[in-house]
Amino acid sequence: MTATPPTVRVTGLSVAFDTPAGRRTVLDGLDLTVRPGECLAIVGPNGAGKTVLTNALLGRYNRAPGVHLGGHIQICGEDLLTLSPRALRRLRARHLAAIFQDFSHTLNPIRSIGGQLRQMQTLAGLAADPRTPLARVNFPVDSVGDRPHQLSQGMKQRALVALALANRPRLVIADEVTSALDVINQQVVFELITGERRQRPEMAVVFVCHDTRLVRQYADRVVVIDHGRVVEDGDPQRVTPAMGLRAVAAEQTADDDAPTLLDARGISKRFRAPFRRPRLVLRGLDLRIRHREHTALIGASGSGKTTLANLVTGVLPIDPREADTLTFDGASLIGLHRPDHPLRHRIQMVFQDPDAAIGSIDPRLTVEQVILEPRLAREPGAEEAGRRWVHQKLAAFGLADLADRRAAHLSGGQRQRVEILRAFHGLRPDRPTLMVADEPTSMLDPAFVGEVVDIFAALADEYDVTYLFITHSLELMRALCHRVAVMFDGELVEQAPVDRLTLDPLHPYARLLLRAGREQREADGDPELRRFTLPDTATGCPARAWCRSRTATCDAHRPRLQRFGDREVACHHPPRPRRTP
Amino acid sequence: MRSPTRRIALDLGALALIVFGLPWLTGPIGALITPPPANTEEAPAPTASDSTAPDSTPPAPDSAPLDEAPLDPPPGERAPLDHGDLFDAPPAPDAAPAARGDALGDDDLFGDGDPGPTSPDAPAESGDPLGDALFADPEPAPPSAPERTPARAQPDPTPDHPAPAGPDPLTLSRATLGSLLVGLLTAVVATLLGGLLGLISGYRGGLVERVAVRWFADGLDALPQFVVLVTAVALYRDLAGTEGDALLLAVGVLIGAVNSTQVLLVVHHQTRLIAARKYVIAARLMGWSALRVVRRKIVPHLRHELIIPFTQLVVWGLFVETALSYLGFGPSSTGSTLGAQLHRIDPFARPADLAPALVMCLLTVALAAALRDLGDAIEARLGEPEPPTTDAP
Ligand code: SF4
Repeated sequence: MTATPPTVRVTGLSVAFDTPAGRRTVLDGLDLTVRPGECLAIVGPNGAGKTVLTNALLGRYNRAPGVHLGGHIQICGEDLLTLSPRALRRLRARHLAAIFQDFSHTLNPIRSIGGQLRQMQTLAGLAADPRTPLARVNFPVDSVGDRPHQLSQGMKQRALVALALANRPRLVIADEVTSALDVINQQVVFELITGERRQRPEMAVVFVCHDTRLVRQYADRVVVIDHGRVVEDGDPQRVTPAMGLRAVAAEQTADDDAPTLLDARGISKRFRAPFRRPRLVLRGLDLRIRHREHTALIGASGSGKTTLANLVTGVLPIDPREADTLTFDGASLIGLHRPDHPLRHRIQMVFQDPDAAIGSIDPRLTVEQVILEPRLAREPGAEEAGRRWVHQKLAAFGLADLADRRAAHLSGGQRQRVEILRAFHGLRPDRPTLMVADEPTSMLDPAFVGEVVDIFAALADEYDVTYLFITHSLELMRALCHRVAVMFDGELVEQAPVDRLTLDPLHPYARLLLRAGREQREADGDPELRRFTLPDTATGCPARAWCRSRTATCDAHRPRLQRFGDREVACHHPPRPRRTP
Repeated sequence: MRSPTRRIALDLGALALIVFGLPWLTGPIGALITPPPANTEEAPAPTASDSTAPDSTPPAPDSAPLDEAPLDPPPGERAPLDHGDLFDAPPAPDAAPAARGDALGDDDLFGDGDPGPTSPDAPAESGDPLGDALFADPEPAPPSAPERTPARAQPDPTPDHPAPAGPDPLTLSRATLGSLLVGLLTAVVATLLGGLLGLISGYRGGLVERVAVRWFADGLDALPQFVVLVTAVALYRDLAGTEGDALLLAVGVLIGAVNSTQVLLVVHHQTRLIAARKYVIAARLMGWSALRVVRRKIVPHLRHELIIPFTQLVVWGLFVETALSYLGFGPSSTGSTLGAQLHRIDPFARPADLAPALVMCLLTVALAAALRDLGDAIEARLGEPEPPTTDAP
C-alpha cells in the first residue's frame, strides 16, 4: 500500500483572505496526506479553518479575488493550485465529489434524478447509466424519472449521495454534511458512503465533522486542525468521546401519580398551500405529560416534532376541530396564539438558535435587554426586580460580562444560554409551568452541551417547571428526562421511561436510534439503516419500508399505540419486552 | 474617503445650487451654445419688446407672418424666430436695451461680457438656419396649439410675465422647487401608504394579504401607470375643481398612491420574512400585542429596506409629474413645475428654451446622489449593530 501514490498530498498550504481589517490568515503551512481508500475525519474548533481546507481541496479558491494561496495541493497526481480552469473542471468531473452541508438545495429542481445522474456520468466520461449508482444507495428504480419535488426527504438524500458518487470519484469531500440531519439520517449518509467504499476500495473520503461519535464510528484516521495547522493526527478511537453528562433527572424522581399537566389527545395538523395537496403533519397524536416529568420527544426530521411543539406553545393557532382534547393544568389551550390567553406566561419555548441575525435574540438589543423584555411583558413595571434577576443569573452561569453585548458578539454556546434565560424570564415562577425546548443543543459544539444542560437542571430546581425537549441528542435525553416519546411520521410510535427505552427499545425506529447512539462499528454496516426512509403513503405501518419484522398485516393496517406495562408501542409485531431488571 | 456628513453637505449644496443658481445661468449657457452670439442676443431682445407691447413696436406690422404672431395667445413662444428672421440687424440697437430690463436678465450678463454692437456680426448666419429649421416644422401647428390647452395661454399676457422666451430665473427656480416638492411628496405618500398596507398584509396574511397584494398591488401594476394617472388627475380636477398649486399637491399624492405598490410589495415580503424570525415569534410568546410586535420587532428591522425605494421614488415622482405636466395633464396653468415650464414653450426655438430640461437633468442626478448618500448614512446608523466578528467561545 505504501507504494501507491497518495490521493491527496497537501504541503505547506496557506490561505489568507483580504478583509476590510487587513489580511487574515486562515490556513498557515498545513500538511496533510490522504491515501487511497482512506477515510479521514477533520475535526477542530470553530474557525480553525476546516471549511477553508475543504474548499481549497475542491479548487474553489483558485484565481479567486482577495484570496492568497501558498504551498501545494496534489490531488490524483495533479497540482491543483496551478490548474487551468478547464483542467480543474475536468479533474472535478472525473475524480472529485463534494457533498455539502446544505442538503436540500443541491438537486436541480427541474430535471429528473436520472437525467441529472446521466449528465454527471457523461461529464465524467462514463457510460450514462443512472441505475447502477441509484441501486447502490437503495433508491427505487421506478423513481428514476422523478423530479426532486416528487421525492420524500429520505429519497432526496439518497439521490444526492448517488449523484455525488456517480462519477466514481477517487476522492469524496464532505463538509459537515450531517449537522442539519438527525441521528439516523446522519448515519444513513455515512452508511451509503461506506457501502460505496466497500465496492471501490480505492476511494478516499475526507469529511469534516464535529460529532465525535461519527468520527469514531467511520473514520480510519482523524486530523485535528487548530489555528490553520494540523495539531494532531491519529487514531479516531483516541478521540475523547462526547462528554458523559451527569444524569440530572435521576435526582428529581418523577412521581408516578403526579397530576397530568399537558393532556393532548387526537391532535392532527394539516398544512394547506395553494396548488398543493394538503400535508398531514400530525395524525391524531396522543401525548400526556405529568407534572415534573421531563419528557424528551425524539424522532426523524420531518416527523412533526416541531409542529407539535409549535401547537403546544401557541406559535401556531390550534384549530379546535383538529384536537380532541388539548389542556394544560386543566385549562384549554385553544386560542393560546392570542396574546391575552391566561396560560400565556405558563408555557414558554426555548428556541434553537442557529444564527446571530435571525435567531431568537433580537440582534438590536443587548443581552440584558433581551432577557429583561419577557419579564416586562409579564409584569409591567418590574424593571428593578427584573434587572436584578438578569444579573444574578448571568453571574450564576458565567455570563456576567456579556450583559452589554449584542447577539452578533456572542458565540453559539453563549447565545443558547442567553436564550434559555430569556425564555425562563417569561415564565411565572409561582405556578406549574411547561418549558418546550426545540433542539437546544443541536447547533452546539459538544463541549458546550454540558453548560446548557447545567442551566436547564439549575432552573428546573428553582421553577416549578416541566420540560418537553425536542432533541436528537441522546445525551441530553439521558441527562435530563424521565420519559421519552418517539415520533415517526406524525405519530408517537413508542413511549417509555428513559432507562427502559435505552435498555430495551421495542419499536424498530427506536432501535435504530439507540443503535446509532452506540459508538461501535458494525462489520458490514446496518442493512436497516441503508434502507431507511420516511414513508410516502399513509397506509400500513410507516416503518414497513425498512423494518425487519414486517409482515402482510404491516402493509395493510397502520398500528395503534398499545400498552405494555409502563410503556406504549405502535407495532403489530413488537419484540417481547424484557423483564424490568 | 469623506465623512458621510460632509458628503451629504456637499450634495445638499449642489442641490441648492441647482435650484437657486442654475436658473440664472441657463441664459448665458444657452447663449454660449448657440453659435452666433450676436444673433441670439438680438433674437430674444425683440421678443421681449414685442410681446410687452405689440402695438408699440414699430416693426410689428411689417409682414404677414408677424401679423399672425400677436394674435396668437402664445405669441412669445414663436416670436423670437419671426424676429430673428425679419430683423437681422436693424432693430437690434433699440430693442436691446428694452430686453435688458426684462425677463432676459441672463442675456444681460452675456451682453455685458461681449459688449454691445455685435449686430454687425450678422454674416455668421449659422444660427438662423438652425432657427429656421426648428421653426419650420411647428409652423403648421399654431392653429391647433392654442386650442389644445387654453390654460397655457393665461400667464402670457400678464404684464409681469412677459413673453417667456425661456422662463425667467425666478420662475424657473420656483418651478424647480415645485418639482422637487412633488417628488418628495410622491415618495412620502408611497412609502407611508405602501408601508402601512405592506405591514398589515405581511403580518396578518390571509384575506388581507390577498386583497392588498393580489387585488390592489397586482391590479394597479397591471394597468399602465400613465393612463391611470391621467384619468385620476383629470377626475380630481373636475371633481374638486382645483387648479394651480393645490392641484400640484394633489398630483404628488396621486403619483405617490399609484406608486405605493412598489413599497407595498417590498414591505409585504420583508414583513413576512421578518415575522418568521425567531425573535419575533419569541415576542409573540411573551404576550405582546400584534401592534407592539410590529412596532418594536418588525419596523425597526425593516426601516433600511425602505431607503432605496424611497430615493428612487423621489426621482420617479419628479419624472412622472414632469411628463404629465409637459403633456398638459398636470398643474401646468401656473407653471410652477419644470414640466409645466417645458409645456409652455412648445416649439423649442432656442437652446435657452431647454433650460427647464437642463435643470431637470441636473436635478435628478444631484438628487439621486444626495439621496443615496443620505440613505447610506441612515443605513449606517440604523443597520444591524455590526457584522458578526468574533466566534470566540
Ligand atoms: S408494524 Fe410491522 S412494519 Fe411496522 S414496525 Fe411493527 S413489525 Fe415493523
